[in-house]
Amino acid sequence: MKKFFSLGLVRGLIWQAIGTAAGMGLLGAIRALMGLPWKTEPAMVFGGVVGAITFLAGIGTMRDWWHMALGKPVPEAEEVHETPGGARYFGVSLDHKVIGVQYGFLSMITLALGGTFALIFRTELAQAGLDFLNYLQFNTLIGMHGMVLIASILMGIAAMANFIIPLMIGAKDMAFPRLNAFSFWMAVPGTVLLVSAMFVGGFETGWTAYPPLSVRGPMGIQMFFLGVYIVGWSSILGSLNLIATILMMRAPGMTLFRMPIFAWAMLATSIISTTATQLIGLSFQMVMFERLLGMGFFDPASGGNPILFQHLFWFYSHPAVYIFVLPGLGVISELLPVFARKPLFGYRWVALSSMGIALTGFLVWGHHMFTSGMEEYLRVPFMYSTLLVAVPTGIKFFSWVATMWQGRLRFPTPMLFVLGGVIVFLMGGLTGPPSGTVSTDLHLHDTYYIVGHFHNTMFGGYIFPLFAAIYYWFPKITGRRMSEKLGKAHFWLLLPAFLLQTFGQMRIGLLGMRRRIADYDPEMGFTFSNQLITIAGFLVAFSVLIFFINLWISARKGEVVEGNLWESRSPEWQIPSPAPLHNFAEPIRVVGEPYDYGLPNSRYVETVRQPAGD
Amino acid sequence: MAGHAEQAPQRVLIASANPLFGKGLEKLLRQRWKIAPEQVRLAGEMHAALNALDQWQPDLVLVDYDDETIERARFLDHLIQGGGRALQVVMVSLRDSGEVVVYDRQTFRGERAGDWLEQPWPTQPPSQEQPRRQDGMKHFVIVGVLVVIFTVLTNFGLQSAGLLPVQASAQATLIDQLFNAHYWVISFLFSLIGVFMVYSIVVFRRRGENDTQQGKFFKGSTKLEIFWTIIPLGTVLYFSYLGSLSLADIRRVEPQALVVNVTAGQWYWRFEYPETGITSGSLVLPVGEQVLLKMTSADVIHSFWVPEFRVKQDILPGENLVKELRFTPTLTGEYKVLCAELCGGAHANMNAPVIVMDKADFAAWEAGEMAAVSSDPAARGERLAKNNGCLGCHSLDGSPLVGPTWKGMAGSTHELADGSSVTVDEAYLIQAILEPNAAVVKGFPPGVMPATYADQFSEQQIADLVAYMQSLK
Amino acid sequence: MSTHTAVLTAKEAARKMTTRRLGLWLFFLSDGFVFGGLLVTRFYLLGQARPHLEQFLGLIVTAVLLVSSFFMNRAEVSIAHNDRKSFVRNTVITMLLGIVFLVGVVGFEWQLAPFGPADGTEGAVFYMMTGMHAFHVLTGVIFLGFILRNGMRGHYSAENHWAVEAAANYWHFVDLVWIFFYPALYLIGTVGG
Repeated sequence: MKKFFSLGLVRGLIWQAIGTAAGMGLLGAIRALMGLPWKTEPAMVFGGVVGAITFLAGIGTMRDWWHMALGKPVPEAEEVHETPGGARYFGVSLDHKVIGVQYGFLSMITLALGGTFALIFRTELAQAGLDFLNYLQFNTLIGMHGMVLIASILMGIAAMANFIIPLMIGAKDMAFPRLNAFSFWMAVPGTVLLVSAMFVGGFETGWTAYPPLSVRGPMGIQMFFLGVYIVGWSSILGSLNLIATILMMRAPGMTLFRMPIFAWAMLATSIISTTATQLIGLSFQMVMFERLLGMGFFDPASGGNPILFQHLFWFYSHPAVYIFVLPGLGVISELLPVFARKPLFGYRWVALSSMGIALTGFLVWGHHMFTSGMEEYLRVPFMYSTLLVAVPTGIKFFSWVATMWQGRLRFPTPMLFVLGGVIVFLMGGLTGPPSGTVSTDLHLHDTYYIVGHFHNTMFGGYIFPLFAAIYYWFPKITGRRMSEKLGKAHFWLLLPAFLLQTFGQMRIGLLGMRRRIADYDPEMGFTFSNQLITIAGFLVAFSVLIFFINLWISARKGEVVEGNLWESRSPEWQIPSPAPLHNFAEPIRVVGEPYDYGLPNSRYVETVRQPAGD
Repeated sequence: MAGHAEQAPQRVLIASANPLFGKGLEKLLRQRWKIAPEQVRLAGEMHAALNALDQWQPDLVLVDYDDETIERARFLDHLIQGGGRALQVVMVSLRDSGEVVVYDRQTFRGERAGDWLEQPWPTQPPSQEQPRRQDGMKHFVIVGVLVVIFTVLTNFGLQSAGLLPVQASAQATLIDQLFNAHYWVISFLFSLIGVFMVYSIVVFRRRGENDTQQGKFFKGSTKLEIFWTIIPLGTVLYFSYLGSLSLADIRRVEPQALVVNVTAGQWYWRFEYPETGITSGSLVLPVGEQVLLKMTSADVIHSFWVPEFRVKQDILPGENLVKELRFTPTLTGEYKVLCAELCGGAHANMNAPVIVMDKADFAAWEAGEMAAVSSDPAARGERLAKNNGCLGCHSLDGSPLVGPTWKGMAGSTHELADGSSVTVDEAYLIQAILEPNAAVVKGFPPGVMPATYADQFSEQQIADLVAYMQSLK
Repeated sequence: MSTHTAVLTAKEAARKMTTRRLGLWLFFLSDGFVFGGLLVTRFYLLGQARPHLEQFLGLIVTAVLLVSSFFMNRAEVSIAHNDRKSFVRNTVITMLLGIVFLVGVVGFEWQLAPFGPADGTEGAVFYMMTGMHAFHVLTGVIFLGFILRNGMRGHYSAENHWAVEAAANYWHFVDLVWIFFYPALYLIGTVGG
């Protein structure tokens, strides 16, 4: 019992509860002093903010900074003692590998949660008529599904980046280890707040939260806004850390064009997330204040304009999807050479294509607003910019194909997921242009076609590569490998089930099924397709369950692998598995190219033997 | 500026702590390359070696390292940080496995860099399999043919799968043409990437668990990169251009369009024909004539969409934010307008009939609507109920929808949400229309029925509605 | 700021400083996007119209903030020359000026403005922009309070005053934002929107 309460996470949550109650009480007291009656909504918002702060203080992420502020001596991050054993995953650790796993846990939990929401509303949709959900419950579930999974993606990306990047560039840790821990722990109260939206009234708007609808209606939307705001800050600070790490902490000899391609992918991703994310925060903040204080940004009766929200919101939310896929595409580029046993084709072009996608990604947000009634002269330019993103994306596909071409391909589970990712992302990419062209989008917007399109891009660009990454780097975390049998079962169930789901979705979207509808007219002939999609969804979930079982079993009893299992040239595979505490016992130096697979006697990195007596 | 094996180095520096080794190596090199004694220097320790590196500037350095007297690391630093001249550094250690490592630094500018990329790799060791050029071509031919076949097949599949609803507007025909253009590109790219991938998976695979062969070593091709950047760039620019033409086509203005004012609200549609003063809950249209919808919302964002017409337009609240949509129906029939922007609550069921009739029938309909100003209050009430979306939430057949059914409602007794009970008399019905949330019947959601009817209906109209409700036994 | 005693080579110490500076500037870049979004909002909603505000008051608070940046710089330069007394003095002046700014905006302008936050887009834009900015000024003053305290206790030296550099740059950043916000709210466009 005592051990349970000594866990940082538990202490943090208790402090969050205390802080929330205190905040609510404080606001109530202030209002009472001003002669105003109790109002739950502002109390909840204020309480939520205070609770997040007390969580972070209570778990101890701010203690060292507080000491610094008071001028007290503070040890260097690498000298801080790490709690031994499994308990260290439940409290503040400054070790990027621990933080990476922590993000991974949170990401898997939110993955299961968001996926379960989908199974619930898909069950409702399997038949026409409102069977067991009412409108508000359905609308809340689809909104939660979207945003909880977005949070899961952000955290999964942070998991991969945190664990792998320092190892991959030959660094001991991230540039700012305390900021790293702080960024992770922010995501916990943020997620708690986000999920609480379901329990304080739900919300009707879907994850896009458009006003005026989000200004009216149930209070759950405030918890949704607050949760996203805080998770967003986690993302901003985490990516700031990554940029500094990648730019400043590479091993000697590792010029930018000699670093692993995944580092380029994370650099491009981090540039987007450190900047654009502020805009979803701002747009949500504005709706929150419109609700709380009547500030009429988006209310036409006050002179406001709902389209402004859409501009601000999508200015983040479009680049956001590149945040979601660039790391996974980087994983694909990183793993293909290892399993094809030949160099990544056109390394520089692939590296710069990530930056190209990041840059052009900022210029296309209007394609979410083709039917919105925005200024007419914006539609055609946004169409041009949107289709332009296909160029750097195409470079990636062609480079992947050229990397595989005339290789000696091997197909362990990570490679299956890499190839699956390419296929699924191809589907996503090919179904994009009809939505990117204005006149065809007038038909497609807000239908299941769009749902199919973005599930393809999300699974192809994130989910499949995420699984590939976990199967691939699992030995570096645990010193064991995951079961190949279960891994293959996971893959061969997931791929066909998922394609059945998305092709079904795109088909009925084209034929007239709108998205975000709790019910549909049986006479439209969509019932059978919806049933198939629901079944496919359950199969997808079942495959992920197999994966979770694999994770659990393999961490305990998986085959021990201590060396370079995949015969990779990359730095993290030149050290023992699991990766030792401070990563590299001796510093490494770059002496060759990262992807010269097949070039005899060539090495990428070697350890710098320290002269005796240092 | 080259340092290729075919030519000879100009200045060779040998760094070795072992004088015998150094001298022996020097002799070997001078025989091999026919170079003069002053072109070779020996250095027995780091200080002399680094001096020579800096000042004498050799283009080949042979390092016999032991990492005590002669340290590899510092030579490598030099290789990495030194100036732009060509430099080869050969690392050998008599104490280690006899492995020899060659670092070859060359610096090129501009086209020379491109030339260098095209050259065959000079130090390919003999043990590496060299597939003949013809083999490479064979693969491309097979793949090429397969790509063409699959492109045609895929496109055929997409076209014949009946993916789109019937074309019931001029806009639909134009938009579907653009869809067809997209299908071609999708088919081609799908086949291109797919065939290459599947072919690679099948043909270029590892032969058995113990196959340690590596893949064919090539790192890139600037020509190819430029090619597969320029072609897609041209394609997307062309498609954007096609898209802009398509958009202009579907937005073509016909001066004599039929104007219909559309009001969308939670969760109903109302259509008003300003020319004839008709109000209707269905959108009735003549075929072949352009329609101009002027749309506003009573509350939140909605969106007008008829799949068979293809075009869609969001509807905003605010008098200054009226949005227009033009289309020309080309096929008579009955369709539905679906709200295509999540508007909360019963968004899924926010539909209204769209009826396209030929011109004569439409004229007849218009005439009928205008004449139907009845003297019977209940009949007037019935029209009001139909035309203002009431029946979207209140049924006439006894089934509860979002709101209570009107069948048999008047005169009955109901329990309210607060537990009290009420007799549904005239006063209650009037209150229920003007102040919907004042006394909600138990089991029905509050806050759903619009509270705007006080502004919308005159007293007479309210009385007519009540008369209609009272007539429904 | 820490009294950690491990020996860092000069090269490693320089790299660490550069890394910290990079982190700080990335933070400014990120935060800048919020203010950018607010400027876009102001012009999107108000266009050529400008809120009814007290021009004289606006001029005064702007002057106060600009002058405070001057003293902030003096404080930083002082400690870079090991002049602790001057550092303390100038930091105190900067803080006072910052507080004067806050009193001027939140204390006076907010009360004197003929509109409240719920009064149309004029109110919404004005109070959100000045509110977000004032929040940053407030956190800047708090940050300065900490470095003042540490500075008075002798924690900073010419070689070791990263916290001062960071606080000073933050202060200048917040001032820079106001250099855009002031014209956007007080100068550009015509009153009567």
